[in-house]
Amino acid sequence: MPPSSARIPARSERLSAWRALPTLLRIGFAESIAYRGEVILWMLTMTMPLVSLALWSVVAADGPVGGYSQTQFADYFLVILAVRMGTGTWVTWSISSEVREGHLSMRLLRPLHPLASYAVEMLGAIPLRILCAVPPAAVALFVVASDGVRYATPCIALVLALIGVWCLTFTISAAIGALALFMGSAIGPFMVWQGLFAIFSGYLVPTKLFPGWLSTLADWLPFRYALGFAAEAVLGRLAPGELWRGLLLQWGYVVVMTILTLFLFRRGVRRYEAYGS
Amino acid sequence: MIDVECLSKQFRVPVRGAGLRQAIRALFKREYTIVEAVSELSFSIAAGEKVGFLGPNGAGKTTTLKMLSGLLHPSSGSVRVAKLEPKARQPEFLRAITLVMGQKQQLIWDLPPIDTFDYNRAVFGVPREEYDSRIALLSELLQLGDLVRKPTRQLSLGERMRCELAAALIHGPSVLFLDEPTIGLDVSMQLAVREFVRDYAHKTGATLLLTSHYMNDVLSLCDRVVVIDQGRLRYDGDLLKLARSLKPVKRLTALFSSAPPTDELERVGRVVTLENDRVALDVPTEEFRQAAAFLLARPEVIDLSIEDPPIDEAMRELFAQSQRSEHAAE
Amino acid sequence: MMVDKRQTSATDRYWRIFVARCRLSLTLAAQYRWDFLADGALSFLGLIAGLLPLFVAFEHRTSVRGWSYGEVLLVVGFFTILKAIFSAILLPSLTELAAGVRSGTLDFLLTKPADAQFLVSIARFEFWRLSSLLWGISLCGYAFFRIGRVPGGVDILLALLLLVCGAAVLYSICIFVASLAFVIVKMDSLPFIFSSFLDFARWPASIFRGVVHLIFTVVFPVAILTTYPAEAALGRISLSSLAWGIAWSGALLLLSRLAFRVAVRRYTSASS
Repeated sequence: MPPSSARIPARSERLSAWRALPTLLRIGFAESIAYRGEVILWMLTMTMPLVSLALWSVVAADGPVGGYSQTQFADYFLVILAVRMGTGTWVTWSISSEVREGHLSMRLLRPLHPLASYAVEMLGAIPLRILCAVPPAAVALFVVASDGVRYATPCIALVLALIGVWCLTFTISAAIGALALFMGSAIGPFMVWQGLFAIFSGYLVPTKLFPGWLSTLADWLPFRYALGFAAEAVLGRLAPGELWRGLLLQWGYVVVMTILTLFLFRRGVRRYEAYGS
Repeated sequence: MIDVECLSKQFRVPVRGAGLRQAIRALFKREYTIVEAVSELSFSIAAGEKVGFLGPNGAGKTTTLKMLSGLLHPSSGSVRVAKLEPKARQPEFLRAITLVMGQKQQLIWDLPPIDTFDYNRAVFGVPREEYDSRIALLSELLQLGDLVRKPTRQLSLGERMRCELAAALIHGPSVLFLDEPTIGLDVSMQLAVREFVRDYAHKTGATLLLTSHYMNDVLSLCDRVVVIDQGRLRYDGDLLKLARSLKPVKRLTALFSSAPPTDELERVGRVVTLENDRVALDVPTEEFRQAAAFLLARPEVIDLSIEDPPIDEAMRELFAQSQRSEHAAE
Repeated sequence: MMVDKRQTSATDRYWRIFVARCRLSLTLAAQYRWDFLADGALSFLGLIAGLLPLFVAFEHRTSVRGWSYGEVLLVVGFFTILKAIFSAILLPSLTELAAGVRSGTLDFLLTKPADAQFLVSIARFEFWRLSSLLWGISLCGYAFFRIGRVPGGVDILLALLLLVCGAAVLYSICIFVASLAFVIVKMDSLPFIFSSFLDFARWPASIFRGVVHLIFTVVFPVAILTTYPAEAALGRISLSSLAWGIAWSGALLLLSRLAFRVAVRRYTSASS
């Protein structure tokens, strides 16, 4: 099994990795600033929550649907948009293209796990992403601002849920990217993931509006914990019991996905043919 | 420092015919052939040695270098670099080596090289003082100056290669794998890189394994060469001995305004190619002055160039010779 | 006579270029078999994901702004058809163009002895994406089954006519985006932004009100793409919508052609 056979680095190694973190974050940030134009344009491709919003605001015009009023729908989809902007990642594309062009070699020559180097890069882009997420979040909070929350979500839970969303999105995306090491390209599986994500994450419809069994399924699948769960927590739609159980499940998935991703990398690098001569 | 024993690498390559029909067939049933890129290669290199790694295109040089640096896992055989197994990619191993590939870059494209240097400093855990003094040394040897503060994408190929070398050496590796470090560079840039590598290796006592298309790179940097062809070891030993066995020749290429007098040229040297009015002639180095004078004296010669024959051809000749001597031995 | 002959040979030549392109695209596609398989799954998944909000919404309502479930399904059906055409033919060519502008390979294309807009339009096809065409057609059929009647012959003809208009609008906008590609060098994401904005054509345009509705009928006329054909098929399209759909799509075709020419001229004069 991967965790037991994985080589545990010496204490000093781990320490130096932590010491390196600020520098790596700074460079990741600088890099995201260098191509800020692309980052911002990519954000513009996230129209689907707004497309959904258009439909739902009409549907809810004559009265609330499944506990969501017109303004609450607006809030929901704006928060979804903001969370997605802040926590999305293009790591699948990075890994897939680096595998194809052989640039992964450069990461393998450094004494830092490639997964960690990707993570730091993606983390570096977060300030810019959060900046992009401010407009929808601000509209949700100050313009639409539906009739108050039902449950006050504790701050710590909120932070944990949002970090969890990022971690889960990152590990799943990286795992899909690592498939490129086996199949040459990861774009196909990535598209499948995106389709399932659109259905079960709450990106298009709050999963609570699904008919019973489908809603329960969404509660158990990982997709919701990579987006909708956090939005619901932000909007105070989760009772304490639901919230903590969700957090447990979310972080459970994070752990499982991290192990799986590390395993895929381990196996994949062995097969990696260092393409492109 | 480097011990290679019976090293082999096979690739499974999908067979893909040209055309639409073949591509569709490959959708359903993919056929593979096994390509033996490196087979039963053995050599060892002591600390501080400078070794040229030669062979024609596709001989398995890059594959071998990738196995030595831990990027490829060998199919069989064993490799030890700095007493460590490359494929485990332990941090101590990665700190001990560096791999420079002329056609790959590690510099972050949109940021100045100094950021990549800093990135490597952090990742390799280089102490600040050590980093500063090394940067100073590298800047001086490579004349980096302000280059390191310009975004990488704005640098010329030569400037980028210099920064690339610096980035690869920030962590002070003791083993340098250089794969075609001068490829695509103009002659003066080649010379600069070559001199840098020589000075650097001299100052640090690093072990060097170098592949190059350019014989001059190898001649000026290495005392010993390892030659492979089709994945097999063909020669391992003194460069001078090899050079002597290669019979030093110069290549004279002349452009004629009328049909070249082939018979007369045959007497001057060996005619390598003859295309219409262009003749390439190999002449022993000690005679090339006379040969050039002879050609220049003829009014129908409108252009003349003198250069070293490409390394590939020299190699091919060597293999032909070694095969001949094998036959002779039998 | 001579002129006539030369013209047939020109069409013939363009046809042959087209066929050659198709073959090349098919060969390329077949090399990535995982993508191939995943795409089949994806078009189905995409359909389900796209229908999901409808499933849920009509659990709670019987009609949305005067559109019944079956009628909205018809709109989604037409959307699926157009999206299939878009992602099989237009989007790949557009991304190819964006890449070409950046890497400079576009220059090869412009020096070829054929119409540049034609060559740009057929730069690449991804045929397997046409699989969702089937989904779209079936969805339209199912929609009429839900509505519970068979559309009349004239209605079908009008719907097809407007669908062609919709395709023309889509193509024109692509050509506008392509023209933009000549001006902005770094625009890899532009085709994707465009394609994501296309999603607003998913629902009947009447759910939008006011300025937004105006934008979606004139500036970015998603209404012509899907709502008009659906209304025509339902036999309730107004004469003004019909006239507007035909006239505006024709005008956009001409305008985009013009924009493309200007862009190419600018590009060729700028890059020595």
